[in-house]
Amino acid sequence: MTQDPISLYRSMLEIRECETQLNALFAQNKFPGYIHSYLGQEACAVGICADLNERDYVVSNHRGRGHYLAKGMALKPMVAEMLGKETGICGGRGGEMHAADPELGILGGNGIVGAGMPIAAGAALSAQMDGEGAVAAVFFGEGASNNGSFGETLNIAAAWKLPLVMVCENNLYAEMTPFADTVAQPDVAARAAGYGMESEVVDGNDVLAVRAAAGRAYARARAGEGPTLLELKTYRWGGHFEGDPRKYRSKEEEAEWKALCPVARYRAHLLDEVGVEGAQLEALETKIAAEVAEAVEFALNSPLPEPRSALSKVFAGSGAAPDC
Amino acid sequence: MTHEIAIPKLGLTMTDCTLVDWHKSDGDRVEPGEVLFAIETDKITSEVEADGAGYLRRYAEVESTHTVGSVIGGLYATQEAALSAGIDQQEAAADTPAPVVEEIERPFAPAAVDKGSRQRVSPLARRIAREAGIDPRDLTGTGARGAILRRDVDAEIERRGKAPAETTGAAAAGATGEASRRPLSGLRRSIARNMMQSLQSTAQMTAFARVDMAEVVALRKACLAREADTGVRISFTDIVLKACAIALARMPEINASIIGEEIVSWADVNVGLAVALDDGLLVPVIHNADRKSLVEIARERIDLAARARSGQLERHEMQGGTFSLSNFGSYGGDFETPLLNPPQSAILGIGAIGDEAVVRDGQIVIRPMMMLSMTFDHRLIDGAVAGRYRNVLRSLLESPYTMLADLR
Amino acid sequence: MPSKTFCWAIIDAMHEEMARDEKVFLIGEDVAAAGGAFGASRGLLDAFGPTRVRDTPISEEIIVGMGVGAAMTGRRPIVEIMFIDFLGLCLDQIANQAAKTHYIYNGLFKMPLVIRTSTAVEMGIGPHHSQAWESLVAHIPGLKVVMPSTPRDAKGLLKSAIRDDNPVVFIEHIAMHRNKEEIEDDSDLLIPIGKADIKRSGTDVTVVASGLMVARALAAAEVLAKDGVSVEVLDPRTISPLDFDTIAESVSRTNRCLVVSSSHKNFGFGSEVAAEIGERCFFDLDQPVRRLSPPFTPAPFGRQFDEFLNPDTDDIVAALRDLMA
Repeated sequence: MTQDPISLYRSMLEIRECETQLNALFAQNKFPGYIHSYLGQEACAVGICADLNERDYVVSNHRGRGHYLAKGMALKPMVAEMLGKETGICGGRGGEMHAADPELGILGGNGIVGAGMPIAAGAALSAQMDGEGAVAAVFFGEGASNNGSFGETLNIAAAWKLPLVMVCENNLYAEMTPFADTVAQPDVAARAAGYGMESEVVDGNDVLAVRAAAGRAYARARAGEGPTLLELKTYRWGGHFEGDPRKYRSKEEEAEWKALCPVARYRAHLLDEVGVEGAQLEALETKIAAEVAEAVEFALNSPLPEPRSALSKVFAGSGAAPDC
Repeated sequence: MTHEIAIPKLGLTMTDCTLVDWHKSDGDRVEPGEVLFAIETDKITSEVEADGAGYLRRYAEVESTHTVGSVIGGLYATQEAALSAGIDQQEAAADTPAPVVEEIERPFAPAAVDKGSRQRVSPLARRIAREAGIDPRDLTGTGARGAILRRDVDAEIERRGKAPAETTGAAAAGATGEASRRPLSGLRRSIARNMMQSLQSTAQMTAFARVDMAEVVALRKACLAREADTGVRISFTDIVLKACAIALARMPEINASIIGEEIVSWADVNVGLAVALDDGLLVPVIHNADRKSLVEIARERIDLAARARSGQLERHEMQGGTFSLSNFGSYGGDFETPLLNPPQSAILGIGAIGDEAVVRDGQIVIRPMMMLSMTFDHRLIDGAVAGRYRNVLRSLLESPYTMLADLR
Repeated sequence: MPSKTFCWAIIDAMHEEMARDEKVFLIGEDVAAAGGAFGASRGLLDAFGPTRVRDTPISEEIIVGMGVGAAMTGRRPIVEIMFIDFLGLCLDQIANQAAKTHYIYNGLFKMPLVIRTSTAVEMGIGPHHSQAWESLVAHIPGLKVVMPSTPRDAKGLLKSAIRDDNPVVFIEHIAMHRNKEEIEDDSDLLIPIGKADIKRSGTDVTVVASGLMVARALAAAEVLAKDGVSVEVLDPRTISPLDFDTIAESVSRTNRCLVVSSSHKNFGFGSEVAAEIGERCFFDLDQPVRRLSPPFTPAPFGRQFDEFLNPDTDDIVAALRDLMA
């Protein structure tokens, strides 16, 4: 969705600002429920979505704001949805782990780890039947790679040559357990071979590297050559959720990964390699911060949905739950 | 070996009861004859004694309802055995003991429901009864375990429709302004039910006869003269009751009942005596009246009547009657048509003794006369048999000294 | 009118709907080359080709999950889970994804997904192939659960399910596959989901029977008729949403109700019907509502267990006589 170098930066900034401001909101007790922060993984979402268009599908997970924004969801309805407000893209009933927009090919998040992969395979099957070159990308963590749905998806996607790109954001922690403690083979990408699927390991904090790898995977998928498993090595700056004391890892480790900040790295690239003026970036940064602040304000000022609205839309084609 | 503790049958018509108290706890040592538990039926609470020895394990809870014969506990050889007795027995006790064998073979027996002792009325029957102004408590249920169903209410509505004189509902009364309205007392409700059941379940016929009471009057006078010796005031009722008992002993076909599809002749002659209360009527029973002296009968009558009026009768004192006697002469009646007290087959009503002009040996003479009103169950007792009984009774009353012949 | 078996009614329904709408496709274990584990998709591969009739690996979660994803992106998938006993392997996709997607996303997505599955209660094939799980799935809001008892109902309901924009769990009983019924030649034979059918009218007692039990209830009604008792037999056809209006109307007339199903008594279909009748029809009841259901045990291997554990016509007759006493 984002083509030029500045747009990539703009998209990463939007995610960074959004996560920063929502974390602050959470600290002020103005955010309902959990908040699963995407801080530190911005390059993954932006690099994967850079070359997708509206016909292509993205399936997200519980840590989905980066994916939604990178695939083009507008800030205000997205943030309002996170706060469960009526102005949210799903009327506020989805909340922090669920937002979707069929017009943009965003097929929702999920509260169930691993559940998105089979759904993405189904979207890829639709795309394959349509025969118009669309692809489906699914985001999941390395933790989900230990779920049965992962193996089932790898197998059928490879067997049926589905136009599917499986994007594993390996941020090292499966919820609150170090991934390495739960596997004998810590490289998720290595599992693809057993299913006859292409795979690639990528620096997940390098947006250009992610975009390049994604481009290769899409080319294969659109050409009918089948799916690819991309393992993006990255780091989750926060805990599994905000407030997680993160006792399972060291401050030193966190500092080392923060030094590899994907946003700062790409900013340096723009200044040093592309020759963008610092003042231009600063102006953009100020503008994005204001846009996010405006979206947060909009969400805070929006009403909650009426409790009675819970009774509606249990079924398509009927106004209310059958018992009302 | 476990000795089972079962619900005893404490009366002719008793079918079920509510367990109201255990006098012993699980693991307690129990000796034969010790009071073990108490049960309640319509009117009366009864204490039941142990009929074996051992250590107690209670299977049934207080307030649970049981049919006669249900096992509600066990007596075990050791305390340990009693306390560790399995839940199986307890579950077995939770339901009636009789459930048909074939149902055990299929796993679809209906769940045991509504173990409370309150009256069972289906919601539909209750609704229809309310709409018709009928109190379901007046009805006899024909459903499972006496449940009142729609058909019972419908039958009552139809019956009332045929007997408009008996309207009871406020709407049917047509009168304006009720003087008062109060709930039926438990006793009144019980009487009402029994009276209705009496008329609905038997074929009643009443026959009348005059008796010359001159000899009885003389006998009583003699007895009164000896009151200081016997310490008891013998009444006309006592003498008539004694005569009834002797006549019953001579005629076992009257001292009998129809129970289900069978005719049962009773070994004992037990005569119930109607005792009027301020609000109602009780019928305590003088057991083996045929074998008791007039003095014994009189003492018992005085005691029973007094305790009936003070509400202190015990269950067994109101049960086991095989015949009843009602003295409406005491409030001035001459003849009435008394209602049977099922499953008894006969009841005798006696009127007041009064001087009348009668013909003796072609002469008009004045004699103290009394009317016998005897109702009998025509299903069991033919008119001729009833007539024979009346004749025996009349001859005993007209020549009371012949009762000596039957004294034992 | 042509007479059709239950099995061919299922095939015809899918055939007609696939011909009518190219968005409809069928995937599942053994559905294509083999023509279905129970022969219920014979001829579809030849008619519609391998893109629309496709064998899957033995991967229940992805079978249903792909159905969810395809339904969210404009297709009308029919996915087959061979035995209802296997639903545990894909329950997340059924309960959390298929059932909730329309709701969670505030109606942004429709979920025109049919999950065809079979039950083999009473067929003596053991604890993992003999379960009646209609009550289990009926507990999930957002799912429709359909369980036909005759070939014509099966055809009309399956066609309705395929055209429905909501996820439908469609339960076929293998023991009924050979049952025959005349079915009119009508490619628009649609039987509405959520509407009960009175299979026999009566005035004295209502039997609410589902699935296999419908035929037994009808046989029992025949026996009771000789006693002069008029039995109404009501087949809900749809387990959820259940047509309580028709049930309540019937029980209000007859004042007595027996619920017979293959579903366990505990927390089951019968409990649901009985409770609802209790709430809606309490003052119309002349007897407690009774349930006949298998006891709360797994189903061991062997027909003798099946016969023991499941209500038969005699059990229904006995229960009805009890209710009429």
